[in-house]
Amino acid sequence: MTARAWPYAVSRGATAGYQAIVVPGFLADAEQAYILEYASRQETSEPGVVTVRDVLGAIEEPLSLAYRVLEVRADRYGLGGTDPLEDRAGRAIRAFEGLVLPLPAERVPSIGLTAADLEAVTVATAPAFRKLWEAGSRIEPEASAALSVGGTTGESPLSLRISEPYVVPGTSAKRRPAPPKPRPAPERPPARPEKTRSAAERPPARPRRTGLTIGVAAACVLSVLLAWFLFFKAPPRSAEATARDLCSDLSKGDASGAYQLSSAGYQHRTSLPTFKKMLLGSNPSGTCSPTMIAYNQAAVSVRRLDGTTQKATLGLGQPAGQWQIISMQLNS
Amino acid sequence: MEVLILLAVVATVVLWMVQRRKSSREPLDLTLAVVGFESSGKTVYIGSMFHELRVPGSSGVFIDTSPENAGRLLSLFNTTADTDKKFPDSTNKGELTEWPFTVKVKSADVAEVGKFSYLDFAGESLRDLYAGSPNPETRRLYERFQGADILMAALDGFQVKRFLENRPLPGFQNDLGTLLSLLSNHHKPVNLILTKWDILEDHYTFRQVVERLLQINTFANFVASQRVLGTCRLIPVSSVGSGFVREVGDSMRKVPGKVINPVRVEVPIACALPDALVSERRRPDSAGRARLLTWAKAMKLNLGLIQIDLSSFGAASATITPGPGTPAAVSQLVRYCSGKVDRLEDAFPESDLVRFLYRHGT
Repeated sequence: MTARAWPYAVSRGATAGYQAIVVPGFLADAEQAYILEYASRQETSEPGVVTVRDVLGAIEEPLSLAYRVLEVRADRYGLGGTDPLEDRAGRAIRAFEGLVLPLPAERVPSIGLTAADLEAVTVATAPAFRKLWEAGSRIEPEASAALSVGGTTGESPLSLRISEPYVVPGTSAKRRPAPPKPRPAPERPPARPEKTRSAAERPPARPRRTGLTIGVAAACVLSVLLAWFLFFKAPPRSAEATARDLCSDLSKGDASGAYQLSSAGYQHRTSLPTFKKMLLGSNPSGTCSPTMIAYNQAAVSVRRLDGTTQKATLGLGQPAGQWQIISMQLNS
Repeated sequence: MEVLILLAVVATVVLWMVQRRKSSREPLDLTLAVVGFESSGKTVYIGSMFHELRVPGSSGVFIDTSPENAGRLLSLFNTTADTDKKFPDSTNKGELTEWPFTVKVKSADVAEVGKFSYLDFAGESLRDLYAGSPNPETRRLYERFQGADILMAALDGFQVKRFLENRPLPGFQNDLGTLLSLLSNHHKPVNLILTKWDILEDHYTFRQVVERLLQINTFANFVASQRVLGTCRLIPVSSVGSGFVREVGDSMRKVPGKVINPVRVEVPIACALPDALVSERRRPDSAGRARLLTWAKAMKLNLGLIQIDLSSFGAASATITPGPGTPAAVSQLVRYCSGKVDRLEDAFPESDLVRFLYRHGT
């Protein structure tokens, strides 16, 4: 069995990004060449595997792609040398080379695509790739002519892997599950992160229960909830603990953490750099231990890394319900 | 009848309380989109960022993802780290990926405090957004950007270096204009990640880089316009560390045998939370939902007073601190983020571009 198919290719230059460089005329005319760019993604690094996927929602249906991904060598497209081509970050240049077929993906295995069919794509693609490589920027894609593919007997068929369909955004086409693989292939874990899904594809939120049922139940649990709220209220921290935390943060060099023990009012008056300079000077850290001199005052003596000492009296209060530093007096 | 009315009132009160408790338990959930043109280093960055943040340090903060995604991200990092291999493949347009992460804090227990997702895509898609006829894919991408809570833009350090050397690569200014135009249509905070800092730092000070960038009118205008949202940071990062790559002509190559040592790759993520909170406090989103503020309130965070810096013509900053009832794990996260911001501002005072622009001009 043979079929009609159009060569296509998506690749990039050393500085220009990925783009379709060879496209069937009917897709270009319908301004749907972008479909080839977005539907061509590398599913496997296994050499020789050809990915086949349906394209749903395009100008013509049925439509499918059969493509392979190659790391481009210069001589493949008639460029000088045999070196692998690289972009300016030293990454391999990949080419997505394949065929656009007016068939559902599930029928592609039956036409018997061969390596020769894909080699014909390379031949059709080479001039456009050379043009892209030399231009150094985006080029206008070239239109491809239809080929007759498949039907060759005697040649070993290609290893095909049918993947999830590509759905043109904004169309009413529905995803169909990928059919079973046509032949056994070594399993690779899919190991793919979550593909993005539009809001429309997400399952609808479960409706909330409302009304009388909750009302009746709520009346029964109200007292329990109130008790629960009270029970889980955070225990107050002591003034001494706040002073201890300050010393702990300073010893770790976490001046920011120490600063966060102060009240919003204090922070409004004193910036972090000033606070840090007052206690540590230009040192990254210092050690201290607090002494409570009143229920709301603590004395600290910060021994800095450079050997100097800074004494301070901390004023402690509960402006927001928890003990915080509300003032700091430096002592000589 | 009276009984029914009483039941209805009680039900309303209880529903309100339950909803309030429920919202306080909901973890933070943010979408971060990193925009940038091809070869700007977005994909390498995500691998290094995950590698650096997957193990908690003294702060206890770390990020996690599914084993499959972790395997893929570590594969990206290992490919980057191996000097016998090329850098990971560039991202094709069809390979747009959203990486979901969970933010966790380890203390006596491990607590999940938030989620964020990171959108990675082919940079060249940006150009299509401004092509003659945007296609459905680019429109969808644009909507994703618009829906993101925080936008970060990757500025290619290699391109910036060439610009500083007065030999910019073709399209540099056009691409920068496109990037800034895209960011300007976003009403949420934007931070700029200056990638490949390792190849810049030996030749230029950070201040020199900032001053030269601000000489580009579109760049300076963009920074000035960000004042309304609070801050706009330029964060120098290196996904590979000093000396890992060298320039060969107009390209970069790994130096054989060098060990990867990413620098500050966690800072853009750490800045995201405080910057988004400050921004939302200044300007709740158009729908008035102020989702982040609701979360902050539920977590009893003290957002402090927004300090308007008059010398900076209105540049704003605020100190976010845990409140008395803030869950311990959230307190740790907030301290971690604030600490990272403080250290960035200590080491690179010019990183707050809005403040720098208005204090020093260009």
